[in-house]
Amino acid sequence: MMVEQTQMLVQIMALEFTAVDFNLYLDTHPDDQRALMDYNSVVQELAVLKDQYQRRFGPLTNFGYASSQYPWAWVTEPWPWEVAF
Amino acid sequence: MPEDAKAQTLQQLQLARAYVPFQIFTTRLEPLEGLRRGTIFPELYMPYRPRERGSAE
Repeated sequence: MMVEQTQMLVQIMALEFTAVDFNLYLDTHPDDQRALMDYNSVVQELAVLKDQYQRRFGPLTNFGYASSQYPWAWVTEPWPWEVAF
Repeated sequence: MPEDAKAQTLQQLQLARAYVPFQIFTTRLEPLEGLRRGTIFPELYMPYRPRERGSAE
């Protein structure tokens, strides 16, 4: 696995963590506009990064969120436990 | 304290009430730092640090 690929995965994990932590905060603070704006920009950044990743290295989830090159990419990329971070 | 006295004392206790101050958003950590610490909110970062058995702090 390329260094760049693992770096992107780590960045995606970090952004996803930021998004879910904002999710938990916003559940109890739905009127916090500043937090909401920050959350929205994180979501946008995350979507761009995931799109870039999936175009280059294949799908992040098994179905529904990225098209696949031939052959079916889900089973040809490394499994999560095979990635050395 | 003998066991039956202990049990009686426990039965007389009221249930606990928990109070949690309402969190106010200040700033957030960078995504990688948040992932490492387990929270993106600096004021919620309260790690347990290893210490000698029996020492007060």
